[in-house]
Amino acid sequence: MTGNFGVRKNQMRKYKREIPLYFLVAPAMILVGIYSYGAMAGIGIAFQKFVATKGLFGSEWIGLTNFKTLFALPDFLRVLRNTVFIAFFKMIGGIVVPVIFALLLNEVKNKFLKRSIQTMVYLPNFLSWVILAGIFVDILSPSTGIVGRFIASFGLTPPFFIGDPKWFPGTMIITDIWKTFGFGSVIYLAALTGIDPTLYESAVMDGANRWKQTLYITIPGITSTVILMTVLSMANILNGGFDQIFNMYSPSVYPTGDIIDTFVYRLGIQQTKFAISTAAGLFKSCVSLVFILASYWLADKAAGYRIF
Amino acid sequence: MEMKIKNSAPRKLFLTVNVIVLLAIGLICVLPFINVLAISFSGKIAVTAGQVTFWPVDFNTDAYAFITRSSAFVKALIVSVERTVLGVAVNLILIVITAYPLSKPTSEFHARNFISWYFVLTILFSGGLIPSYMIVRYTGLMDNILALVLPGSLPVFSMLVVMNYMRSLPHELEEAAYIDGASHIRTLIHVVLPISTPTIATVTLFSFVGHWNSWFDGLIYMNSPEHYPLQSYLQTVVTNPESFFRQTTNLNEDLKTMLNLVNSRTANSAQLFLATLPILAVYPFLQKYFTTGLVMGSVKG
Amino acid sequence: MKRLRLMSVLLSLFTALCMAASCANTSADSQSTPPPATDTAAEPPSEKPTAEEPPADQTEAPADGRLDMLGKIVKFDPPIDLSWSVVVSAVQQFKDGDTYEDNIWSRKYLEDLGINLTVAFSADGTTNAYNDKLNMQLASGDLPDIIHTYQYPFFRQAYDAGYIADITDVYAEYASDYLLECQRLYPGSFDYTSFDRRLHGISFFNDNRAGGIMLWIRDDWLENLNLKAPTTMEELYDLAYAFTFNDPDGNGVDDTFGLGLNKDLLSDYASLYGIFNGFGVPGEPYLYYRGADGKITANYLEPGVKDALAFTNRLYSNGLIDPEFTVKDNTVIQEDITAGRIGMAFGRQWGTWLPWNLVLQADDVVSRAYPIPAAEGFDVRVGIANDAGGEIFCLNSEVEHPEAFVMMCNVFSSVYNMWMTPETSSKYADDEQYRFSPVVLTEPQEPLWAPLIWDALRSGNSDNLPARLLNHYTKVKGFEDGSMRDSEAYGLWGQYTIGGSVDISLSDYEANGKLVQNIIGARQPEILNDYASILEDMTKQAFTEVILTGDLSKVDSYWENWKGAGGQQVLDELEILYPAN
Repeated sequence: MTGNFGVRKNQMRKYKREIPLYFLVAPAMILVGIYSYGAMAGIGIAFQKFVATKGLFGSEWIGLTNFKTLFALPDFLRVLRNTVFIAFFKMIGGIVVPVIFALLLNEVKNKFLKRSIQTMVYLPNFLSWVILAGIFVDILSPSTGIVGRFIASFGLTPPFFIGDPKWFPGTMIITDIWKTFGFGSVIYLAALTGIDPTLYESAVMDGANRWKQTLYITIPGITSTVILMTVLSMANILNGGFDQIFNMYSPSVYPTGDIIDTFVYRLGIQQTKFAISTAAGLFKSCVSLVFILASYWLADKAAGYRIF
Repeated sequence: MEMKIKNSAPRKLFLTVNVIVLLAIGLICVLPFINVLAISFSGKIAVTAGQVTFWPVDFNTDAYAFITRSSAFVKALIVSVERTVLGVAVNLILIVITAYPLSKPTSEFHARNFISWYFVLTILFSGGLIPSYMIVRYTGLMDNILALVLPGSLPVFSMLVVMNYMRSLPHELEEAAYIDGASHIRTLIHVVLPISTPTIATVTLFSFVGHWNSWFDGLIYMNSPEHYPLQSYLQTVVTNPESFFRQTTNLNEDLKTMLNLVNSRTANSAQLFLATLPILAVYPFLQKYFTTGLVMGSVKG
Repeated sequence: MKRLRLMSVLLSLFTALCMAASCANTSADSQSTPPPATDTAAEPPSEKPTAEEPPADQTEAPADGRLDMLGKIVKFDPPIDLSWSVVVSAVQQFKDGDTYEDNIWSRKYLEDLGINLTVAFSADGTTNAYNDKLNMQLASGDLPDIIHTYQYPFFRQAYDAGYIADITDVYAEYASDYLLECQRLYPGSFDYTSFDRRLHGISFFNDNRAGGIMLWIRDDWLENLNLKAPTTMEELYDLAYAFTFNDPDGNGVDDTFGLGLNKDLLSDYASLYGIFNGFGVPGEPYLYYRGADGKITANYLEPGVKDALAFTNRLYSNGLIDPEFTVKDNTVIQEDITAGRIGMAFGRQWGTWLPWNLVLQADDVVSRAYPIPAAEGFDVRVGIANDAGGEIFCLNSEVEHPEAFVMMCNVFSSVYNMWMTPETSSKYADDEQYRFSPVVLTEPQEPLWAPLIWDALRSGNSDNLPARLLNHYTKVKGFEDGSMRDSEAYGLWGQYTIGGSVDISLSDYEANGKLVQNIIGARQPEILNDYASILEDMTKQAFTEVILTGDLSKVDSYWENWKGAGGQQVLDELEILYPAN
């Protein structure tokens, strides 16, 4: 009896000790509750003939009509296609380039040199697309921009990177990779330093040269990280990059450059089609959610990764 | 233990070429900024004629004199500093006090999984622009700097990074503190925080960068251009260079005469560079924490 | 013919008003309804209008035939608060520490009407900022008390959502005779803001006869090359060629383009409209009208679209248009014009105000307007907007005293009108001071005023001109004889001189039947609200593509897509809304 009581008491004490933990998480839970979950209630608009004066609770519910209207819009398919195209190549480039860069940087043994190169390539990652758009619009101008003048110095006609629909998606992909690859390589550099040095020692004993070592030790050593990052990045399949494109596009590149997020913005805020715009946003969220859940499931299976 | 490998000739060649290639890549990352910097210090005529590459032509500081005299830029700068200081403080406090309980095993904090999902779900789903706008309005934050701080008060991804980092810490430390009778708060402040420097430094940088770089919320939640933070203001200038000249030329004759010395390209370049400066000043010093702070926080399961 | 009738009505009104003004000047009785002339003659703030003791008979027209400008005025005591939104504008300037909340107009409304104005928000009107903000407020139900919008779809949606107050009754009770007369003269504007014959706001009063596009060329380039303004599109091509390759600015550098073109293609200046007009396509953002076959059609369905785009592609591919035009918006075009990279562009009749005033400032060079040249085999057709339309001012339905809105309209028009003296004008109007007023009522000026100014210019007798026209007359004369060189003199000269832009509109376009007016007035097809911006996007894209590639088959697919994406439905609905008589 006493023993049993002791356990109960122990458990009580344990629960009691948990109480401060609830107090610690409470502020964030309340704020997230208001600003994230509160806003999530607004998703209801997507199923309504939304009238602002009647609000979310007074507007008429019309089922999936807004989605039908949305999918019937002539631009919708085009926007979807552009989004997937841009996001897909950003995703591929966002894996391949940092991996190669990390492999090359890993060969640099001079600490100072390594550090300096890292500082340089990390820089773009920390700047906003507002600033970078300002810079790119300037340097990519065919007539006055430095890139245009560079190309022209070879006697070539510089293409119009941000004004020509043929070049625009590529420009978005390249500039995005340029911005993110440096910082993206951090994780692979870490994986590289994590490879057991004894593996290399024994390889040297076996007479393997550097190339062989790279092929049979280094690359397999980071493969799981690469797979993990690939899987996780799949969640971004509908993320064309609003900040970037919004600040660089113009109507002349809509055919190839308009993405879901910019489309939602124009539809919702500029054309006041709140319901259809919210429906488009919800569509994107749902597709993304499927991809995210699938990718986390895959990450768990393939690399034993869990977010928490 | 360092291995001493004698480098063969081809290997040496590879290493040399490698360093050159990497330096070139590094340069590609910074040259655009150098170009902008050079333009901002160059004469209007040389810029228009396209003579400026990486070194100022007709060196002068007119563009900087011009924009620092424009009250719009300075006002926006002040708003940005305020929001960043406030925003980073709020972010950090919430990250730490939220990550700590969630880093406990389920046996010590029974609601842990539920609460974790509660937060993670908000990454996966969001209400969209218009509902978010309505919430900000209903909570009375329109045109208030808190509208730029509270809606994103807990960056969930950063919180997960810190949480995972804390979980990876040796459990014995906290055990010891617990046995000594320390409260959770004491343990957090005196035991956990001091050894979480790398991850805290990393998420501080993220928050700092995030707040400094945000522009969209400023445009929609602020009720007058004077309350825009720097990036929102820059966004209106970048998409519409003339609006900047308008705002400033309206002020006084003094600025009008300065217009003869600068044009939208030199002035814009100077503004872009000034907006970059705080970032340039901060991130290289936090660089050494990235690997430990970020990697241990995100990969460790 | 309808035009002529309207014109004669306007002229008779004008003479009546003139008499009223001159009577008022001599009349010692400025007590009951001070006409503007006296109102502004005595400036001290102690001199108050009669607001405080509103005589019941104030709405009656005074016996001597003067038109009542103030209507019924009841000052609120204690003052009431009304919020409004500010369009941050290009030219607006603050005077002596004024702010959006405390300025010449806010003080006047507080003094005369007991209305305390507060600013709900302010945002830039030249970017999306203002419209975006207003649209967000519509979504969240947060609109200011006095709502100012440029977009009819917004107005319509806000009305549907129940936000817009019905002001029919207060208007009937409080409106001045002047307002009522305007309503008689510009029924289109009042229709525009009415739903089921109930008035829900005031929009700009319009008479768009002078709203067509013309060709603007700087004088010195023509002189330097010893060339003349073009009268055919082929001549325009040759001139653009010369402007591009023959060094029109004589600086020895190949740094010029033949014709300015704006990336938006369909916008107020450096647009495609002028080229379209020359090929028989009335250019405007959108224009619907009855075609030769008696059916309602849209401007960009005209066969001339192909020829016009082919012509533009020829200009483009031969380098006569800036190859970077697809990123050049109004502001960049302005810079190019100022910097002397562009010497010719299409634009509206106010070209000497913007952007060509910048050329005068920069190089002291005059630019002037010319009629649209005709392409071979086509008649020039110049598109103009419907007279309904323009900026709308309306009232939030939650406002307790809707009469405040009508009284503000009265007070505004009693100050801001034809008889405004230069002093009043500099206080209340110049540098867009009038934008500090939450309601702005403007009568169409150019087509009404220009003939009167021409008469005075021809006869040299300006005695009968009202104060503002006298000012215009003096400035036009001053610019002509070289004694005035300021931007106002230049701006007015470009419009009002004989042979100026308004003259081209009235004596060429209108007199020769070149004008094509949009049929869509107040009654908007529902579907147009939904699809207008999509159709416009589609149009710009298709046109840009054709200009860049020269692939005319794209026009065919554009026509097809346009009809498929709601365009045909718009045409069908219009047949019902505007039946042929």
